[in-house]
Amino acid sequence: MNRVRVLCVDDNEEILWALGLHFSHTPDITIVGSLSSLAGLAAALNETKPDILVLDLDMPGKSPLEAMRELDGSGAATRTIVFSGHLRRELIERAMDAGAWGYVSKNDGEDALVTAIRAVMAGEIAWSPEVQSVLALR
Amino acid sequence: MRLSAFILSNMERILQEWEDFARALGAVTKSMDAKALRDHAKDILSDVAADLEIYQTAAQQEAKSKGSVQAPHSEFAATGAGRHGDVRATEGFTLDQMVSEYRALRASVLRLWTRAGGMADRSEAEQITRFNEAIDEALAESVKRYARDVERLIAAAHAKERMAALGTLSAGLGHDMSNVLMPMGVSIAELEHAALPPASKPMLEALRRSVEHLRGLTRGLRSLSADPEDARVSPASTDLSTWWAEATLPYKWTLSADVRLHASGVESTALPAVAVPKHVLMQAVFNLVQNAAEALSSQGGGNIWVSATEDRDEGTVSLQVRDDGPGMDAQTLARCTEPFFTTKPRGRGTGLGLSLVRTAMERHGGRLLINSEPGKGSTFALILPVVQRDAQPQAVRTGILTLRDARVRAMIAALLSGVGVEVSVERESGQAGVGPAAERATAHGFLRVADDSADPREVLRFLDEGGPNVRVVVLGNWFPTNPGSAGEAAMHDGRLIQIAAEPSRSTLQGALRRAIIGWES
Repeated sequence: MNRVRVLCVDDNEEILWALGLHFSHTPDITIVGSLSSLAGLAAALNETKPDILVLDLDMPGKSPLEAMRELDGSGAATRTIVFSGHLRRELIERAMDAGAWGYVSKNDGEDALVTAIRAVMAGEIAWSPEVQSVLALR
Repeated sequence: MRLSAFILSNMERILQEWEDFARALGAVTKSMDAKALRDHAKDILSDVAADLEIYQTAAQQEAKSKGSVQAPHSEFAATGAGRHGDVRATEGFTLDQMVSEYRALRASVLRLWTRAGGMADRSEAEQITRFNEAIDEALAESVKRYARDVERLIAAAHAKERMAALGTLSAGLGHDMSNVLMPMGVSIAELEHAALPPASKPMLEALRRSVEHLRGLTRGLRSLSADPEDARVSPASTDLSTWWAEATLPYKWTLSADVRLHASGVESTALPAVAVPKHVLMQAVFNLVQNAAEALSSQGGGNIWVSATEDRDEGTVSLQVRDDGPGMDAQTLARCTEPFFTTKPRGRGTGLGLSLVRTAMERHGGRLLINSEPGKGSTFALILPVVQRDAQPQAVRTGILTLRDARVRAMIAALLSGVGVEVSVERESGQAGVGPAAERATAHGFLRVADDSADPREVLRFLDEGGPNVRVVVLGNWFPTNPGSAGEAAMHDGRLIQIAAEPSRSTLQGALRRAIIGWES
């Protein structure tokens, strides 16, 4: 079985550490890189060619939304899943407009992120339960 | 004697009447001495007397009567009258109380002057006095209402500001909490699988429960601080079988130690879903719990019971908040859901809580019932309409996607599945078809979303054969809609919606919503 190759970007080192630990017990997922800022993102994407980019939205420096738009426009096969503690509707909508395939609330936890990674790999858009309640088409 | 001279030579008598009147205003002046009661009155009267002696042209007189700021000698603002306003405001006088002081002053000066023979024709003088009094009464009434309305508007604005501040705070707190709780959760899970001494098991279990507790609190705070008028914050219905577990945390969090919160039946997992959004329900019950807690604190503590009972015949759930507090008398009970009615001290309550609860319930088809008697506590019941469990099976609604872009396809599939549309993706234009006529007759709707990988002739056939419930959303301008074409006609009657080749999510969402509303109308 081909494992899903994931690159994680979050300025919170504890989150990166926790994701590394959790994915190490998830047989179908492997971490190919962790970045604590967006500075080296382009090089890391180029080098590791991940299937999934797990991206935090609240980081100093360059806008993560801008980075997503660039990735979306580059024709790369990498699909982005936002993993954020922010649940404002307009932010979720902006992330989806910037090319995200998924949006997972950190409060929904690491298992929700794993579910989202699998769904996105199967060609689906993935929103974790807290996000779904904000974005529903009604 | 001229009026100005009369005022100056009878100052003490006039001041005494002013003082007597001010003292009679009630609670606000109870603890004030004569000096405070007479505040600046002497300065004001001296200014008035001086003003009367200054020659005025007809034009100046007219300007003054209209309250024009350009009128000469209207510099009372800088003297006693202005300072008197400041003092009365800080002393807690209402606007109408302050105006009534002036009314009394005018009446007493004119009365004393007339009695002293200050005006040759006493009946004319009396008419002037009466006229002044009548205008004053009208003015006082207007000022009273005006002041009350301004106070209400300010209270409402403050309440809104507080909610907005709470929303910002809760969003920030939620973000920070999740950044801490996620690594904690992962660490605990890791430790649970590690070879640790058996004695550590209960400690890990306590840690795990604590993390869950804080996650629940974060969710609860978000719901609690969301804009109650924003219908998109949470789904249109609340599953009562799981609701209490989330709601109870922030409720308990805000209660003082002398108030105990009990759940009775509300934690039952057998409760149905009700047609009120979760954040609206959480805020309504929060308001009721807070009101009960404040009533209880005034008597040194007590109990609050939150209970729920389903009435299957009525199709409702009664969610009750009961307390063993002081209760309400009939008059308070009758008025307690009026906007701005409050029994709390000034500055504590806005008087909006119960009124908002009632309005929110009515907006979602529910009701607020109140039962209370002095000495017997109060019961507030929210009667919530149950979302019908055994409703007719949903009519078949099908979405067929002919789209090259995998992400756009996935986005549309996610949006449509969210509203119960069965989605199928076709690899080749026309592969999915519109189904047999019998199936179409029972179907609630067919939606086709296609980009230029679809065959225009085939899409046109889909529109022609699909019947009135067919909707087509095309991405890009490849589909012929020139004047006189079938495409133009379909666009005209709303069966065909054309959007950009690479639409934003909001455009997509808007187009899908329009198509679905088309089915439902």
